[in-house]
Amino acid sequence: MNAKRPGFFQASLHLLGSLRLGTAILAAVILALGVATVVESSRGSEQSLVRVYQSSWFAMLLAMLGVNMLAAVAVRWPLQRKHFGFVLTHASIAVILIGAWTTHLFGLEGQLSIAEGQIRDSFMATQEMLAVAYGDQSVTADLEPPIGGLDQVDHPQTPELVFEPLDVRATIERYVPDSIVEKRMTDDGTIAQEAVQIAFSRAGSEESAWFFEGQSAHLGPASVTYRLANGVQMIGFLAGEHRNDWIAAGVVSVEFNGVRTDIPLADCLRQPVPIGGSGYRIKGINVWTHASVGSDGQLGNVSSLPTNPAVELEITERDGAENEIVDRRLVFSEYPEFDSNPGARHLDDLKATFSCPVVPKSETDVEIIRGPGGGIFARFAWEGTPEEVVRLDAGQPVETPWPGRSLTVLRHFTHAKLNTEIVPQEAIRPDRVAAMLVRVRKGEIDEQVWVRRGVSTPVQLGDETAYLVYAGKQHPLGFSVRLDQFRIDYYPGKRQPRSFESRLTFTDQATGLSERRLVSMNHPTTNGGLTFFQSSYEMDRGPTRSVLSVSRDPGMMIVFLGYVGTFLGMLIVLVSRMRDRRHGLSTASEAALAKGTEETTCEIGNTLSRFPKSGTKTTVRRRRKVVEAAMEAKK
Amino acid sequence: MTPRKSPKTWLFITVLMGLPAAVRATPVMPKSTNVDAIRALTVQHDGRYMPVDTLARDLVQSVTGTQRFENLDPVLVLLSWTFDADAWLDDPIIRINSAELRREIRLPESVEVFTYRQLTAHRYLHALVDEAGRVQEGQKPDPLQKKVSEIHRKLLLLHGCFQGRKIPLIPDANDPLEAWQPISVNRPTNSESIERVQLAWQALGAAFRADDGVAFSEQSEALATALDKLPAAFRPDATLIATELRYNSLRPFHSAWKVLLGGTVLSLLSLYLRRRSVDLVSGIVLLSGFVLLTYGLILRWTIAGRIPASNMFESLLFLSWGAGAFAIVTMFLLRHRIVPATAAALSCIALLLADCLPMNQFISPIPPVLADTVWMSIHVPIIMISYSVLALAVLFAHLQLACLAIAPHKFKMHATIESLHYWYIHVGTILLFAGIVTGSIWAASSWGRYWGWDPKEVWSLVALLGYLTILHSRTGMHHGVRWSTVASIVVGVCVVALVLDSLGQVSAYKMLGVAAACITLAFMVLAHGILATALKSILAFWSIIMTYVGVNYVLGTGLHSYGFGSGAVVRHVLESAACDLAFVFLCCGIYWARKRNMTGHKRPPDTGYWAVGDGLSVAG
Repeated sequence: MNAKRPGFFQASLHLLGSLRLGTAILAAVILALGVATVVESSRGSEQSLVRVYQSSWFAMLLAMLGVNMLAAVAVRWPLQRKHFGFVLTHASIAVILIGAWTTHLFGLEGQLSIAEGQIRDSFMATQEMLAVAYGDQSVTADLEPPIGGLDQVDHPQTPELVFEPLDVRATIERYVPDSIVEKRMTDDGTIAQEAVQIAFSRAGSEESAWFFEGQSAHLGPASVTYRLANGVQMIGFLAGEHRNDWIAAGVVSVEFNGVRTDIPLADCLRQPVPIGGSGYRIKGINVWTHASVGSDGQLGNVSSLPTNPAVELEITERDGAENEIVDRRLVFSEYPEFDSNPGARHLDDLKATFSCPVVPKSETDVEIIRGPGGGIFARFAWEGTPEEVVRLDAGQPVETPWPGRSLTVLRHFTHAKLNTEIVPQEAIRPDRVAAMLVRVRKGEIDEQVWVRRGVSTPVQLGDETAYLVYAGKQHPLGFSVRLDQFRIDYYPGKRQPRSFESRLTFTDQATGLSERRLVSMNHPTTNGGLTFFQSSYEMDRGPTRSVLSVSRDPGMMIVFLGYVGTFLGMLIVLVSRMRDRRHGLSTASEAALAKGTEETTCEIGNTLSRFPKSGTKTTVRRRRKVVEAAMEAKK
Repeated sequence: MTPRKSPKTWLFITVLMGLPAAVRATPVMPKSTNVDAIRALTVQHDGRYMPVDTLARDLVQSVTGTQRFENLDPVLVLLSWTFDADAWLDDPIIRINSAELRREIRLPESVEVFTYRQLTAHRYLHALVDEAGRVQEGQKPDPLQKKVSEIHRKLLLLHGCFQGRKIPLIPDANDPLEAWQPISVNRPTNSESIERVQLAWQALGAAFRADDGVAFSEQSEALATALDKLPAAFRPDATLIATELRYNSLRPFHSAWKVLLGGTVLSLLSLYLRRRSVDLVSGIVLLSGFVLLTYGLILRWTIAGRIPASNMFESLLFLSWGAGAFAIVTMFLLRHRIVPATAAALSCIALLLADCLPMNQFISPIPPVLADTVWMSIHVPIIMISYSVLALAVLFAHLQLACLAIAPHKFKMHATIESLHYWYIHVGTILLFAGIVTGSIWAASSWGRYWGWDPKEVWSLVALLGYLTILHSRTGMHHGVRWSTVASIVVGVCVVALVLDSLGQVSAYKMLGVAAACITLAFMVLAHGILATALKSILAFWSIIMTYVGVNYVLGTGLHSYGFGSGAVVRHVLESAACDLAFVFLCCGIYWARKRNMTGHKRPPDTGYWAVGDGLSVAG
């Protein structure tokens, strides 16, 4: 390079415009972009916007890139013709960046949601505001300096809102980027109300819910209910664990010749018991808690839960012929009229019934049961698996028939009360809801309320109720717009829109002149410096509303100019390089040649032979001359 | 929750009443029936009008996963589902490939294909479907729920077929946009013409079940005439339906890749043989493949009524077309045989991928933002052509690696490949820039903003910047330590620190990821030489693949093996990435091993095209 030491200015220009710095910045931008997409996929698009794309450091990086481009152009001053492509490309990239900056500074973006027949003169800008409303009057304050980012702000510098008619003053005490409405269960209710919190979790996902007594709901794949059981029912529920207790509670009643004998089930299972006044004896042979006919046609016990209890009884002859069986019958406690053995020989006058604690059929897959003693149990009654009842100790997970899922009682309240409160969130969710703590004063009254974004919050001020609204700011259009018609075209036979369009009428408020326009997807329209784009529509509530994006972007044309320049510049560079190639030598090859190795010369020779068809004879000759000259120079 | 009887009770009752168990029947597959007349009938499906043939292909593919289920004519299968539903209840139809998924749904793991009855009677699946159905709108379903919904959708489709509700043949008399109705035999009607259709349909069913070829043909004629006489608010052009039938039976893309494969093999052969005659033959074969592909594209364009550039399948067609056109043109213009050979190979590979990967090949309705705009026909082809040029570049990069490993002394060959590689990258980068710019202008015209930091936009920018880095890493800039080095290091360190901050909670994975990214980028910026250039080109191309498929799938979902969106595509991509990595390591390993033993051969200093400056060294 230059033997002369360059001055400080020139040296720093060379530094700023150096290729080395340029590629380093390129690499840094690539890294930032790649990471930002990962941030977006894991933490939501707003996070990536705030943390990277719209952050000041990323803007600095892009600015450095722009400076690098401009400096790279500047060091080539005065410009030579051969540098035209290079200069055009790099200057144009700087122009693109300048255009982007212009958009950032002066651009305006917002949304306009409008129903058919409605007239609007403002649109919802991205800026935010707080309003106090009473009746149909309201005062609003812009949130200046703009808050609404991802950071919590205490005592933002927002002017005090004064609502004259009510003499209400409001100040913002705190801003939090994300909040949830937490439904918190407390155990301090004034009336007795049973509730349990149940977790039904699968590896990696924890699902839990509160259940009031008698309430049923879905939790994961199962329906769950919570109920209280009395002492007798509890014996039934625990029949699996304490079968003897259940048997002790069972009674077989026999009626013969108008005499009714109640025999405890336990007694008649042990030995034949005489039936009062008949001389017959009765003995229980088999007991089923949940009787069912299996595929082999035999009665079997499918679970230990007494949902369909049955007893098989044997009636033997009176004294003297002890072993002669007179009758054998099956008695279901739930179906007393059921004739188990129709047509067979009977003692027709003898009627036997069976009563015992029975568990009603479950209407849900899982029943959480609280016994009179305070113990909590879960009954799994999922079709296809045997029913069972297991004890739940607080905090101890229990295996369930659902593969991989366990059930846990987290908490149990006897005086449960549901409170709702707004709680700031530490970890900010992608679809966050910002909230503000607003201090409202009126005379003696001084209250603090949490206001969530987009939710109108009532404040009781003595006898009056005012409303606090925190939402996007309405920005005046400068003219009025009316939606004459909104139309959706569907694909035939499908509820999938093919296109949608809005017919708008713009009216200039000063002159009263109006103009009709059509806006559809991909076909925007511009009025008064604002461009209207068909964005989407809302159908869920009320009349269909057309949603239009409204924007003003003075930087767009600069960016497009930059696009064209860069593209042309790149083409020119390509063409000039191709021409260099065709002429056989590039400056760098020359430099390499000047350094001089034998192979390099061969290399240049190869270059000559590479595109023999494409050049005319004269160019080939010229190339050869160049090579010869280069060889000479080398020697 | 409605109260229900316990299954035990049901069993009890069933056994007591002595109900017969279900009897398994094998489905009737008539052999003498000619379904061509039915095939050509017009139906309305998926937002457009099509022959029954396409409908049958779509339905059979949606349910069974393949168009030719058990290698049967899809129309025949659809008719059999409609007319002989009972026989199909116990026939294995629905395939659940992933063993992991079968385990999670508690299905027998040894079976892959399940019957309708098996799945509808599977209690746990019911519970999961219920659970998936309760996922609130706006909430992301987890991978299991997504797969369960998919199985549920298949069952619903199959159920609709069994009920005869999936062949909407009856046009709406009044509204051209209203849904067409299937022929329902049981619904009484006061219209004589509809009654005639119903009678013909019933008779058709009977003939089908009886495998009576003559009666079936007669009844199909009768049905066709009866349908024609129905009042209709709109009927599509008969030639369009005929075109679509031709498109379906020809399968132009399937045949085209086979022809192109032949052409590619021939042109590779001619690379070796260097005979004009082989050149000529390979040129003719390639040309006929290309003509077939072009014809297929024209047919598809005609049928859809819009440029076929709306989804991945269609964009792959364009990629193949671009490469094919380039092969044909260079074959006549350039004396280099390697250029058309590689272009033909790329064209063939792209078409093969489009045809064989499990992608939706049907012509589907497109969202409003794509419809009714010229930008789609400008943006998509430019992007796809730039991808095909860059894909050729990466082919050359691989070729270079192979050459370096196999013949490390053939400097002349390396230089030739290097030169072609350079020009491809240069041209491809310009086209990529043009593609991004047209995309940006399109976005500006439909959303009002020219850049929105959408992941797809960002990754296309990453790819462009990657290629720009390659083009800018010249030999001259690596010598000496200057102030610019210091400045670069400062910038780099600052950005890494800031980027780490933006990632939130620090974890080992994140640190590892950022470290890997930094090393890769340092390599991109610092490494130079023939080998490094090839490696850089491969890296940059993978960022294009990330833009093309990765953004939709990799960034969107978790890591369950069945969790990836249309799973198979991503799995294939990951597999090919692994293969590529293995190839790269193998070549580099061989090259370095041989290089160490290499004495007496002196590699020329890096001159080539990467050293091309603009006459002014601004390295420091």
